Amino acid sequence: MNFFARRRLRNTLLCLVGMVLAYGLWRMLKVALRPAAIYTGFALLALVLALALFNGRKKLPFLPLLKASSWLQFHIYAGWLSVFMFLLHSGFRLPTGTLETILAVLFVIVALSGVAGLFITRLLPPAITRSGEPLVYERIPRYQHALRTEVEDIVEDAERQSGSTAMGNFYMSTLAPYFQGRSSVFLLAGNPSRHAQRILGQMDEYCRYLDEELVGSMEQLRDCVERKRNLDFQNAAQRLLKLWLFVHIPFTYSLIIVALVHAWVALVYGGRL
Amino acid sequence: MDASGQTIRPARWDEPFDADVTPEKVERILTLPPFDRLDPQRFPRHLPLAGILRNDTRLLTLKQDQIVVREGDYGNSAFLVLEGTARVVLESLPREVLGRSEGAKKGWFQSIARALGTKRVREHRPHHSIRQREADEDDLILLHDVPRVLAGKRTEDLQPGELFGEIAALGRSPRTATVIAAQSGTQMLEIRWQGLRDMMNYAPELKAYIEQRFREFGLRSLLRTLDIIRRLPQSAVDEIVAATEFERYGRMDWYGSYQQLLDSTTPAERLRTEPMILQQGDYLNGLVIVRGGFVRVSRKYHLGEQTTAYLGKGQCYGLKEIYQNAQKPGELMTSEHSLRAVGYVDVLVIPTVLVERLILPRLTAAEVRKLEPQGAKPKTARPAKLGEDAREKLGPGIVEFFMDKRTINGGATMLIDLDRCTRCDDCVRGCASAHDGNPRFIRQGDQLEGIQITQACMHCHDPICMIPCPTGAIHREESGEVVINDRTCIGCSSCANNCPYNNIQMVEIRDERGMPQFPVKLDEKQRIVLDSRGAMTSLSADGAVQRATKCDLCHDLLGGPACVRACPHDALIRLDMQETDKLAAWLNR
Repeated sequence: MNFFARRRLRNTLLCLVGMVLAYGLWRMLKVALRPAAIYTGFALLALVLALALFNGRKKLPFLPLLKASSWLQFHIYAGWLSVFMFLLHSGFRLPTGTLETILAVLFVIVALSGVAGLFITRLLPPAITRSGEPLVYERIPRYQHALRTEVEDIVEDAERQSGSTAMGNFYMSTLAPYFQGRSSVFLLAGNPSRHAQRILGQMDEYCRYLDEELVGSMEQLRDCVERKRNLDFQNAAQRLLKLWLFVHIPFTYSLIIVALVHAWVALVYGGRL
Repeated sequence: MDASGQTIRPARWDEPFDADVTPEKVERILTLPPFDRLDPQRFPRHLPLAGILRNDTRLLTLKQDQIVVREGDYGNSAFLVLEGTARVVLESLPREVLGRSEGAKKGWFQSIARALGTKRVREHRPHHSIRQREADEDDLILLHDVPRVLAGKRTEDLQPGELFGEIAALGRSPRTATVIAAQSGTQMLEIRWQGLRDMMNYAPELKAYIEQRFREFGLRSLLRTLDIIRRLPQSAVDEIVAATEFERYGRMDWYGSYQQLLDSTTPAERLRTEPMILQQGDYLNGLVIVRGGFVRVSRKYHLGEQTTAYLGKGQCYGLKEIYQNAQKPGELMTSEHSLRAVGYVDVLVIPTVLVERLILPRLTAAEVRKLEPQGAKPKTARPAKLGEDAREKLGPGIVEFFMDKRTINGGATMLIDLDRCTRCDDCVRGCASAHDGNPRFIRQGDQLEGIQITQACMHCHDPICMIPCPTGAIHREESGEVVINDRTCIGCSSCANNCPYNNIQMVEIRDERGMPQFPVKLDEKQRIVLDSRGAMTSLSADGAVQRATKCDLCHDLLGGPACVRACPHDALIRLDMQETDKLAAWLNR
């Protein structure tokens, strides 16, 4: 068993023990006719605040506050525990009041975005690594511009040398929309190479109408299409790796604010304040 | 440029090692051995002997039992006894006796204060004309209760005119012994290694003297680091020291053409350019010990060569073959591998006859089992720290890759597992936050099988970046990190040009408004020329003042490198590339 498998097993077991303990305490509180919702609510609030501290830790890398990877492990497994605690707190039923519903929806969004983020951060990096030439996300627009210019140069050269408009026509009808377009994260839904494969198929088809010299230019363009495919994939994948945090983090802060309001309302109207 | 033709631009000897070394003192030093035997005429005009002594040395007056150098410290200087006596302790002393403590690390409050005080301006520095003298550090460490501490320890006294510490200073290696002042008022001349190197270049008698000293003292220490020699009696070691041959392979300036070689040749072509130390199939004339540099161990594989391991300083090759030949004289066993110099390599060769007579009879049973033919390896064998079996542990492609890129030199190489890296740049931000907003590495680099060798200083075992530094600004800390002293860096780019891995960046330093700092004009009296508004006259045509910057492994931070601590995905590590087991464990997580 390798390091990651051992760690996963250990942390999963710890998480399960935490869940069993939480469930046992919850049952005991119920049997003892104690206000279990108050206890689980505070435990849940404490867990959410502890989970939110991870982002704070990331802002203080110069302090010896354990490694960020240890914090992430805590974040992942305490996150699962918080989902279980949420179910205990809600009594395994759907919320009824407006505030509770808003709070529940926020929690679900934060939890689901977290789970999605976990899968994204585990699945996309190997795909990016094997996609082709490594690219820095911030420089992708520059690469795209350079690639577009290169394609235009190849087409212009081919036209000039052959005296035919065949390449220009093909460029305008097929290549220009492809090379000028920017990929979105939706490219990752399904086969991310589908656009490139379609263009390559059209290029093969078009080659039968070209002479040997223009077929040579087409080969150069095929290489450009392959590079565009890599650019598009890396752009989409790296963007998604950043975008999910724009859901997870703002909703976490909203969740904390609404949870605090909810706690205050529950204590005030429960006669405990 | 003004009539005086002078500008303030950082230069070598701007900051003498010791301002108290006056021309009068230099005159006196020149009358003392060994300087009285050197011919000043051999030195070039731009690098006079008196200039070296004036700027690259300092005078130390020591109290009795004051420690001059400690075993294990990295040193950048050699010492010459001028008056009194120095005592070399030839055996190791306990750590606490030597006053060792953890290096000064920033505490929590200091770290927070530094983060809050970070300037928004990139590469902000106080104006370069205000040279901030290094705070006088209290170097005074006394060895207490000397009679008890040194009881039963072998010592040797050094008299006026004797040099010590030059092997560690020139070899960029740790001190092999502790030296204390034997009397109060002992005077020594501390010589920066750059000055010593320059003196050796122009004074062959000094060079010969230092090489002779290496055979007498350094060689013995180096040989004693080997298990197979440590247990030998003194007389046997003496015999080996006298008979050991020094061999050098490759070019000292290999790094100059390395990038070009890398770009223009195939791996097989590069391998052929590496000087052969020992060819597969040759008879072994002796036990080969690596004194400095790295050796590629390879064997023939189909039509090419397959790298199986690499050897670094203190590692040896050939004992198995010599043992087999001694056991079965009728069945000659030749070398199973070829050895090639990667860059520049210093090797020592202990003649086979001495190995057979002095070393083989004293091998332990475990060592003998390791030398037996395949299948007889002891189950309790200590995990190899050597490059042995590297190929099996790391995978075939990775070993060749590390050899090709010569990252085997790295003492703290940054590796990123790209299958786990989400490209979030938390490592870069972590680095920047630990260095006043300036990241000290670039998250890019060569990659193979999803492993990236990131462009961050590797804190090399043999830091060749230190070789040309004229001021000693780039140096090795006691704890092993190679760091740049920003206050004494003159921005000459020598270290950046020498680094074969492009891991040192030259940056333009800026003032508090974010404007580049330029050299300023001086008048005849060496005063800064001010304009009508009282501002310094900047000479922008001369280009902005630069400093060399690189990763310092966050040596002053609690908890270690910020990049490692900032990575949430366990994708980044700093590794000593000679620790094959750790490397293999990380690659096969």
